[in-house]
Order: sequence, then structure tokens, then C-alpha cells
Amino acid sequence: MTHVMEAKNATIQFGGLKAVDSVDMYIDEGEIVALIGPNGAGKTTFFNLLTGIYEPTDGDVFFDGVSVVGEKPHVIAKRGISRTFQNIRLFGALTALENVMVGRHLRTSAGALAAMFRLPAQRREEQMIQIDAERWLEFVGLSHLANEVANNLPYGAQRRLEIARALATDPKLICLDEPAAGMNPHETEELNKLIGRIRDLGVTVFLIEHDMKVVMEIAERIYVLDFGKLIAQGTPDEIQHDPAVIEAYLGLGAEALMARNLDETKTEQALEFAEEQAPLMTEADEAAEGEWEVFDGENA
Amino acid sequence: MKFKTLAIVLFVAFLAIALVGCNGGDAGGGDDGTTTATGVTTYTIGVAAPITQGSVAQGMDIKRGAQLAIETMNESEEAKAAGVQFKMVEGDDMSDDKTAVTVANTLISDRNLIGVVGHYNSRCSIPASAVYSEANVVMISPGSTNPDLTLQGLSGVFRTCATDDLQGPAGALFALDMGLKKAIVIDDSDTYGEGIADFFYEAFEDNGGTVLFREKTQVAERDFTALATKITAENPDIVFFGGGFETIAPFSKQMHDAGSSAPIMGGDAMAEQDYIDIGGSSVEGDYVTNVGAPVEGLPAAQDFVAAYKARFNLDSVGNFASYAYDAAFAIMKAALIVHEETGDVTTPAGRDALIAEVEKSNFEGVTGTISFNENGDTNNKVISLYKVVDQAWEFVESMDLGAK
Amino acid sequence: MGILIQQIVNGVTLGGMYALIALGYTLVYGILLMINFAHAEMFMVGAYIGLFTLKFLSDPAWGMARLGLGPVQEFFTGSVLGLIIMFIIVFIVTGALTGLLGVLIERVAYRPLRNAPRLAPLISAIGVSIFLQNAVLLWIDSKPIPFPDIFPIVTLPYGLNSLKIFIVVTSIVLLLGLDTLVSRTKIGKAMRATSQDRGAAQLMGININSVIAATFFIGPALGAVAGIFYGMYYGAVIFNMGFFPGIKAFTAAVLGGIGNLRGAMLGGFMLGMIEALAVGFLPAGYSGYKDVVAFLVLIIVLIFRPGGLLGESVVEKV
Repeated sequence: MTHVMEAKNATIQFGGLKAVDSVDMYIDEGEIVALIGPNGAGKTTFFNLLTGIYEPTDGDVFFDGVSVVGEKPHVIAKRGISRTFQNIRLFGALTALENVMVGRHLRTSAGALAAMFRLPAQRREEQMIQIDAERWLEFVGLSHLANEVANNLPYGAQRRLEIARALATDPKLICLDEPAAGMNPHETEELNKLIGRIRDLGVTVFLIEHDMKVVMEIAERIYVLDFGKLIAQGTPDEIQHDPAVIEAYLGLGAEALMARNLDETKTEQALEFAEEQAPLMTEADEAAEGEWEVFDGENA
Repeated sequence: MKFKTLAIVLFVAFLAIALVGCNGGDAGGGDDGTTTATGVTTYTIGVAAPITQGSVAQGMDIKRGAQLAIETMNESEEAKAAGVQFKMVEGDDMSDDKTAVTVANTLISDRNLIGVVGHYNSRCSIPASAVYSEANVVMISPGSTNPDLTLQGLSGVFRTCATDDLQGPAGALFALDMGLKKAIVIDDSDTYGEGIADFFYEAFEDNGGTVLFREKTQVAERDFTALATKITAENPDIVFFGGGFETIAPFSKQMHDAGSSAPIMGGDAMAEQDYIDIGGSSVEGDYVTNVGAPVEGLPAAQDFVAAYKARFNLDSVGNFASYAYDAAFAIMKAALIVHEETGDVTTPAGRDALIAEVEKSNFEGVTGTISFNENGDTNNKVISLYKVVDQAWEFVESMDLGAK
Repeated sequence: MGILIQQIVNGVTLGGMYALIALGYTLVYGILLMINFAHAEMFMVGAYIGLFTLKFLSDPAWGMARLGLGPVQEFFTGSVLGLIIMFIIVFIVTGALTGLLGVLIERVAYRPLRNAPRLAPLISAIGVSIFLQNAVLLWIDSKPIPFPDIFPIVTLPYGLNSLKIFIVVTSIVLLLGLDTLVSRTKIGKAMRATSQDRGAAQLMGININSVIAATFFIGPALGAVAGIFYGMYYGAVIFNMGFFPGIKAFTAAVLGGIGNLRGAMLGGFMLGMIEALAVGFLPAGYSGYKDVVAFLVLIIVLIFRPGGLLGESVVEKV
């Protein structure tokens, strides 16, 4: 059986730094797999390799047995990988419903010309898109906020909206980048249930998470990155007792590890929250110029 | 990445070709260097006019007129007998005063340059004239009608077109003679348009007319709907517009649309067939003043008109082409005489002699008798009035201001 | 009173054209944060394409009659139905060709520079602008070319006529159409998503190159329609005709809030109106100051709303 996702010797180097270093990894269909590690370990970079933002300098990444290397992000999205972002990147000026509809678009066919002339087929399709989008909003529990502008949504709702948007693309594999960041315990509880329901839909879940409570509770298998290298893998139970992992987390015991991470996450969340409150335009702008530069260049 | 580089290279190459295309091309032929082995001497005639920007329509007419003159002269027995050929070098001043000075300096760097036909816009001719005068190069403007050009006391500065201080007043007198007593005066804020409008204004009031008000607009402006509504409400007998045909034609059209029946009058820059083509039926009854007697009446002009149309494959002859043609001939005729006498026009003495010889010009050109007064202005002070009748300029009458 | 109504009519007509052009600036800015200085030239090229299409369909000395399609031509010029069909063809053909030119220019002159510093595409745009002007100048003519006087003009009271009504109605229909396109359709949402966050849009499966190409199609297509209006309204087209309307339309886009479509529409109509009313109400002899009044309004608006009338206020973000 082919794995849904498989990385072979995946490596990416920025100048002298190997952000992801010879990583071998796989995910099977229907699994919930977590990727953990200290800050700067290369977790988000790995997501970026998987979704086509970066190309590995060495090694290969396969989705459904076919390499994703060199594919443009929108093509990979179409093939069935979808994701959310560590720092929320919704289309701030669009409503919640519209955000989800955008995600839905790649599963529709009517071209730009049909759209311009508002042909009946296009109108029907647009209605279908809306019905689907409303269903996904309901799935994440945001129906009541459908017509709110995304920027005005509460933080937790924005996180869930990102998940709805990602689900709307009908992914086979959904990559969640710190979905619990900034959530209170009650919201985290809801999130855990939500992730379970996503898996029940048959979608494979791959998540980066700092909140060990979430990870240990829902992940079936865990990979641990440190300085770009894979230092451990296994079930939550195995990971909690893995000496290398404990070493990576400053030699603390597993219990302390969890506690420390919880605290650290809270501080980070506070910072991020403050950032998120600032309007998104400038941020999106910076992102467009900075982080995204690499893959934009390849489109030229 | 490869494609990206390729695309940039191609694009730059494309632009480069396009820009080279702008400047390349149609100089009059002939060799560089003063005298060739066969004993033929080649002199350079500069043509300075707006070619790519600004008053391009008139600039192209000037270029073509001068080019035809040079080609005609090079083919003539006169030139062949004297062993002289002329070569055209063009300078594009883009209707911009600073560019005009640069063009002038570039042209005079050619030591075979003996004279320049140009510039067109008064705002270009005035600063450029200082450069030519300093270099002892003859300059004959075919289109700058602002009186100040020849009042600077510079030697070697001439023009073949009548000045605005003649055309403006002539227009006023023509209008008053027709019983049109209430005028509104507009100009395009250009040296030419403003000058001619001022002279019209003064003469109109001095001779018993009333100017209701004076408006200003801009050369590139095309929307006059609001202004036309305002003017129509004042119900004038005539509207005088100092500017070029490309500005006045849409104005006239919009006046007509606004319900006005007052005729529009303008100066020589409006006297083009294009004015009628653009304005269509709206411009019926509009007036224009122009220098000299009607071109149709002069046999030399008939040949010129035919040759011009054939040479450039055009349906009509732009007004300034004929002035440029005469200007180029004035320089070349004088050059032939000086060459005969001194053997080289490019020496300091030869240049002085050329200026003196141009001053003495007296020949039948296509715009009338070509001769200059002590300032360098043409003595051709006949101003004619034309009117749009059945989609063509029809001659109405002439007025000789030299006689007054 | 009659004069006031006439001036409003003048202002709305002019404003319709400004709005159509302004949309091109604002669409591109919204998505690429780039001021497409070549847009004024797309308007100019559109006017020329419209002119030639119209001549091809209507002028006996041109095109169709020579191809043996004289009767079709007579149908076009000889009946009301023919005229309507002919103008529809002219607008569609012109819009499509100009739109394709816009897409081509984006592909060749802007896309390779998409990740270059901001200044680079700006310079490229100025280059395209000079190139297009010179291309028309060299390959067509330096003189203004009269626009065929085919549209039947019926004069109505208050300075109204059939052409002004046609221009205003068509402009409004197109503006509403674009508004629907952007707010209701798939491609519209993709455009808005791309303008919000290009990277996230791509990861949601949006091909941003297609979206940007669509933007560069729509803007010039609308500009071309404005170009045809300009030709019909002012009687002639010339290679440098884009300059003034281009600056005015850009001003309109800024006035309404650059990047905001409804803002561009509002700004266009407002600017047309301000110009007409300024001429109408400034004392005789001072109507040359209409642009001063227009820019004064712009400055005042920008002092109180730096992002433009409907734009997001920049100040709030800090």
C-alpha cells in the first residue's frame, strides 16, 4: 500500500543552514500524525516543502506515490493537500462564507469567461459552491458567523474558519499548523473533537502542535524534529519516554516537558494574539515580499 | 528562470528596436565630409521640430516640407552646376524648451551645418535661437509666430511665417467687418496661443468690439463640454481660440453640441484639413486666418502640392510644410551663392556671408514672395481669411497689413 | 437652473469615462500593489482598435466592402438594428483585443519582475507606455485621426443627447457588471482572495497567474470601451490622447480609494462632476482653474481620509 505522504531524505538548505535535514517520514491514510519539536526545529518549513512553497534541495516528497517536488502550490492543492497557517492567513476583507467558497473553487469547472457572462451553468455552480461552503461552516460550528468579515471574527473562530476553508478544497491530507495556538482550554477541547471528526470523514490529518495535551490525546503517531533532523518517532507513549526527545527539550523529564511547553505556548499565544489584532494588510504584504519570494520566483 | 531571463532580454530588445526606429531613417542622403573626390560639396541642413511628442502633426509637416525642398534642390541643375549637395539632419525637440536647447547644441556640433529649419513652437524657437546665433548658423523658423523671436537682436534668426501681432489683429478686423461685435477669447496657455489671442483681444476692443470674457485652457485638454455650456449661455457673436487645430476642433464640436451657433476663429495653427475632418459638420462656418495669399493662386505652389502628395503618399499638405519648404530653399539658395563666391560656406567668413545673403533673399516661394525685413521677419504680410464651406477651407478675402 | 442641469449632464458623461479608466488602475493596484502607468496607453490603443473595427464595419472604402460584404455593411449603417448590432460587435471585438494586449503586456513586461523591488515594474510600465505611444506614432500616424461620425445624435433639452445617454448608460451597466463579477462570482472571489493574501490564495488552489491575467484583461477591456467613447465624444483619436484622461482617472482612483472598485467608480463620477461644476461656477475667465479645484478636493479628502473615500484608512492600521 502506498503511503498518503512519504518523505525520503527530504532536505532543504538556506545558505549554510539545513532547515530540514535528511528527513524520512510517512503518513498512512486515515491517520492522525503530529510533528513536534522545539521552536525553529523546521516543522513549518517541512509543511512548506509538502505544499510546494519550497522545493527540497535534496531528497523527495511523495503524495499518493507521486512526487510533489516542482509542482506549483495551487496544483498540489488540487491534488489533495490543504493546510492552515501558524499565523492565521484568512482573506481578511472577505466574509467567512466567502473565505470558504474560495477554498471550494478549485473543485469547480466553469471558466472565467462563463463567470463574466453569468451563464446559467455558472450560476448553478455558484449556488452549489455556496451550499457546500455553508455545510463546511456548519461542520466547524461557524454557521452563525457566515456573513461576518473574517477580520472581525474572534480569534478562535478565525482558526476554525481556516480549517473550514482548508476542508472545502476536499483534501485527502490536511496539514494543520498549530491549530490550538491561542485557544483556551474549552476551545482546545472542541478542537480535539473537530480533528477527530475530520478524520472520521476519511481525511488524513497531519498537525504541528506545541500543546502537548492536544498531541498526546489525539495523535496516533508522532515525529519529533530538532535542528531539522528527525530525532524520534513513535506512539505518544513511546515519545514521552524517548531519551533523545527528553534531551532535545533541555534534558527535562517528560512531565516537565509538557508543562514547559504549555507555558511557553501561552506566552507565544499572547504575542501572536497581539499581532493578529493588527490589521492584516501589512502582514500579508510582508509575507508576499518575504516568505513567499522563493516560490513566486519559480512561477515566472 | 531561463524563460524569465529570455523574456526580459527579448523585451528590452523589442523596446530598443522600437526606439531606434523612432530616430532612424529618412535623412536626405549624401556623404559626410565637406568635399568628396568627385568635387561635390555637401552641406548639412538641420531640421528641428517636434517629431515624437508635442505638436507632432505640425512637426512632421515641417520635416517633410524641408525634406522635399532638399531633395528637390539636390536634383536641380542649379545645385549640380555648383557642385553642391545638401544633407538633412533632424532633431526632435518634443515641443519642450529644454530639449530644444539640447537639440540645438547637438545640431551645431556638426561643422558642416550651415542652417536650421525650425523650431516649430515659439517656446522652443526662442531659447534655441540663442544657440544658433552664437554658432553663426542661420535659423529660419517655419512656424514660430510669437513676435519676440526676432526682437531679441540676434543675427541670423529669420522666419517665413507671419507673426501673431499681424494675424491676431487681422482676425479681429475681419470679424468686425462681418459685423461680429461680441467675442469670447480663449487660448491654450501656450506661447503661440496666448500671444495670438492677446493680439486679437487688443485689436478687437480697440476697433469697437466687446470681449465678453477671456478663458484659458490647456494644449492637451479635449473636454470642453462644461466650458462650451458656459460660453453658449453668454451668446457671443464669435469665439476666438488661440491654439492648434487638434485642440480647437473638439472644442468647436462641443460648442455645436451645446447648441451654440457662433463661429469659431483661430490662427494659422488651425488652418488644416484635419480640423474639418475631426470636427465634421460641427465646424461648418468656422473661420481661420493664414499668412500669405491662397496657395491655390500660385503656380509654384501647385507643383509643390502635387510633388508633396506624391513623395509622401498623403492626401493633403499640412500648412507648415510649405513654410518649411520655403525656409529650406531660402537657406540653400543663399548657400549656393556664397559657395560660388567663397568656395566654402562653413568658414567664419562664409557663415557671415550666408546670413547676409539670406537677409537679401528675394524669390517666389510656395507661400508668396520670400524676403525678410531688418529683424528677420518675412515681408509677406498678406493675411487671408478662410471659412469652412461644405467641408473644405474656402478663401474669403485677403488683407495686406504691410500696406498700412 | 437649466445651465446647472447641463453642467451636471456634462460632468456625469465625463465621469463615466473616468470611472471606466480608473477601474483599470484600481484593479491592478488591488492585486499587485503596482501602479500600472501603461494603463493610459491601453485606453489609447483601445480607442484606435475601436476606430479601425468601426471603420472596417462601416466605411465603404475600408475592409468589408472590399471583401465583397457590401450588403452586410449597408445593413450595419442603414438600419437601427444594424447600428445596434454593429456597435455591440465593435465593443466586444475592441474589448477582447485590448484585453489580450493587456494580458500579453503583463506576461512580457510585468510577470518577470513580480518579485523584483517595487520600482522595477513601475519603470517597466513607463517603458511600455513609451513603447505603445511610439508604436502608434510610427506605425499609424502622428496626426489625430477623425473618429467615424456614425452614432446617430438626437439632441434633447438640457444639453442632453443620445450619445451622452449612451455613454452614461453603458458605463453604468459595465460598472455594475464588474461589481457583480467581483463580488458574486468565482473569478471575482479569487481576485479578492489574491489581493488579500497571494500566498494563501495559491495554497487554496488558486492559480494566481490566471487571476492576474484576468485582471489585466478586464482593466484594459474597460479602458478600451472608454477609448471608443472618447473617440465618439471628442471626434478624434491621437497617439498621446491617454495622458490627460490617464492622470484624471488615476486621480479618481486615488480619490475613491485605490484598490477599491466602488471607490474608483465613485471617484470617477465625482471628479467629472467637480470639473464640470467648477467651470460652471468659477467666475468667467477662471475656468482654467477647474483642475486646481479638482485637486484641491483630492487633497482635502486625503487629509481627512488618507486611504481615499472608500479605501481602508491607512492611519487606523498603525
